[in-house]
Amino acid sequence: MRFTEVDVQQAFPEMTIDLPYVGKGGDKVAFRASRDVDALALKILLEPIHNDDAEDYDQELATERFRREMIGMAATDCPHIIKVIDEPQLRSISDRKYVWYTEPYLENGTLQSRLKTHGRLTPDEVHELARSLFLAVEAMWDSEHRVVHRDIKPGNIGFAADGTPVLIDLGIARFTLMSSITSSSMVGPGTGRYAAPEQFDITRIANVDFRTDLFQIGIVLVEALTGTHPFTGGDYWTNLNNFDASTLDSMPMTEGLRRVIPRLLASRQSRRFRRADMPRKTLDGTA
Amino acid sequence: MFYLQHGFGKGLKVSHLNDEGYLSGMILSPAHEDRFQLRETVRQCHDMGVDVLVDPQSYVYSLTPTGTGRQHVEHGLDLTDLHWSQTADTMKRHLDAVRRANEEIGIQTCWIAPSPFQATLTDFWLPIALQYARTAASEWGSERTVASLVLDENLLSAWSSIEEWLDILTTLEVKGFYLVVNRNRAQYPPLPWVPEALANLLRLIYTLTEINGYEVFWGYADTDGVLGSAVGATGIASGWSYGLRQFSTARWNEKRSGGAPAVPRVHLRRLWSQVRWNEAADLFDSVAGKKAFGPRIRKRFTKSGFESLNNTMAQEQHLSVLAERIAALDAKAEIADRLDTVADSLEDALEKFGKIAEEGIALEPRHASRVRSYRDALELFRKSESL
Repeated sequence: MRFTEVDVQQAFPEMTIDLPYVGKGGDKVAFRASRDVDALALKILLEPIHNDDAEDYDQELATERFRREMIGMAATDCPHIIKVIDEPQLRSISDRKYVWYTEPYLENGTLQSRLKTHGRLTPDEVHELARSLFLAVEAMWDSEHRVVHRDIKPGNIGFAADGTPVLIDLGIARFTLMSSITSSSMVGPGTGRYAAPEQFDITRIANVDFRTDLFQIGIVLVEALTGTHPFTGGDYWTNLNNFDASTLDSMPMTEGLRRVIPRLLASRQSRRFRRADMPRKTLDGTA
Repeated sequence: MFYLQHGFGKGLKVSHLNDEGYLSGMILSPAHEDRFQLRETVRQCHDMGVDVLVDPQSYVYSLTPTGTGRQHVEHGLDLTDLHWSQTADTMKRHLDAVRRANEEIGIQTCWIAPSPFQATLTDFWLPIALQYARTAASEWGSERTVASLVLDENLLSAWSSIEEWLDILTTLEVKGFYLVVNRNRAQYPPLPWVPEALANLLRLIYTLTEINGYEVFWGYADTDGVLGSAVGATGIASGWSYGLRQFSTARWNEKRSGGAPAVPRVHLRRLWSQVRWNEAADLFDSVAGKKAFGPRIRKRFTKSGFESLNNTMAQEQHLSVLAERIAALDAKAEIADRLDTVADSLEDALEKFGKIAEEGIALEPRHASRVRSYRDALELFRKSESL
């Protein structure tokens, strides 16, 4: 980071910025800020723009990945997907110009922090979490660009002040109707621990669609219910491709969750749900 | 649901079958009949409340050597320029042709999309087949589109490649699939299946219907279709003639010049078999064979004898028994119930074959072998799907 936290406070006099920063990733840093009565997440790209003469933000000034994150958020209208409050703009911080924007600050932290501090969720809470995530996947897939998040995990699920689950960080989302920006590694971007089987297979990577997000949700739901990742213990690859739903038989959960989880965690996409609205309807018993 | 795979001529056979209450639909062949005849059949079906589909038979133009359909030109379905490197315009023209052929005989609600024949899941026809389906859905609307899956039985040997294919198939926004499977040797009764291949076919149907909610119409399925119905197939089709009871690409190339008339066969539901009339006569009075005849069929042949059986009567009896059997399975909502019913019936048939053999009555060995392959395939299916 080429600027200090105090530099940030000085650069944004219209906001009250809490220190230290609340999060820092590979390409941006996030601060909790407030303006009037709104709690904001102020996000600043770590790389300064190359054109110091630029006056206004232009898509050309940002990375492709950042542009797509913005498009993804703009393309969906869903209470369970994070929205931008202040559109990307330029601001001089220290002696360089940086791209910044704001999102609502999720007061209740992430699912990851919640699991760590409070342990597993109740069955009803997991049911509501599932419903929210299914709605988010529906909204992304039904959008103009057919967005796949590809990195749904506890650290990317926040809770708003009223407890609403919100999916964050569309930074590596795949836009199935746009050309790919990612090369293979896992194969493809994401978090290995929460990846679907097709994300590990170069021959299947082109098949990534909303069903990949559904598999990730399946992992998240089991972890939220049990406090344990479903594929730990033994050979991870074998477990990943052979989820045994009977391991959840003794676990209290709603009937809806019992119906959807085995299908979410099917190793083949054709065994999950064919339409983005099907898991929600199956959860609610209206399929 | 039972569908009639239609070829030449019908006479009163359709209305007879419909009178029994088991005929849900008909799959028409534009190769066999001209526009006037097909239009008449559609009108008759609609009057009876019977669904009608048209198999566009485009697969004949991807065979080597290229096949022919006698009446295709008249229907505008002479798609001889179907090619694995064709332009988007050609594909659109083919889809328009299929649409027109349907509309001109009075079918507006649901159309089977064209497709090449798929001998493998790795060759150049695979993406073309998917493109036909996807483009048809886009042009016609997903609720009107039934995609074609025209497969060779050899393709069914490895589940792993079918699974990969299913991941793509299930991205199609179509109402359902029209499935036909080429059997390697076109004999009747058909040769027994390799159990693994049939089990994989059943898993394919189950994945598409029970898991993904598509409709699947299995053409030329005949008795195999009873197993298909048990695992979730929506429609099972079979025809009057032996050539319409199993699909064979060889038939689209052969130059027929008559031949001996077909031997009438009796459909013995309890044996899952269509035995020659003289075999049926041998069984009829034997101790073990008696149990192969249900009360209705026993009554019929006690009265009239087997010599009176002609081909038309045999065809009606076969389709009637098959349709009734499909209807009985359709009435069971739970797949487990359907599978139990079929499995019990197959075991019972095998036991009867054993007793018949003990009594020294000669039957074509193929009958028992087929039933055994059904039983083994069903067991493999149930094990694989934990059902």
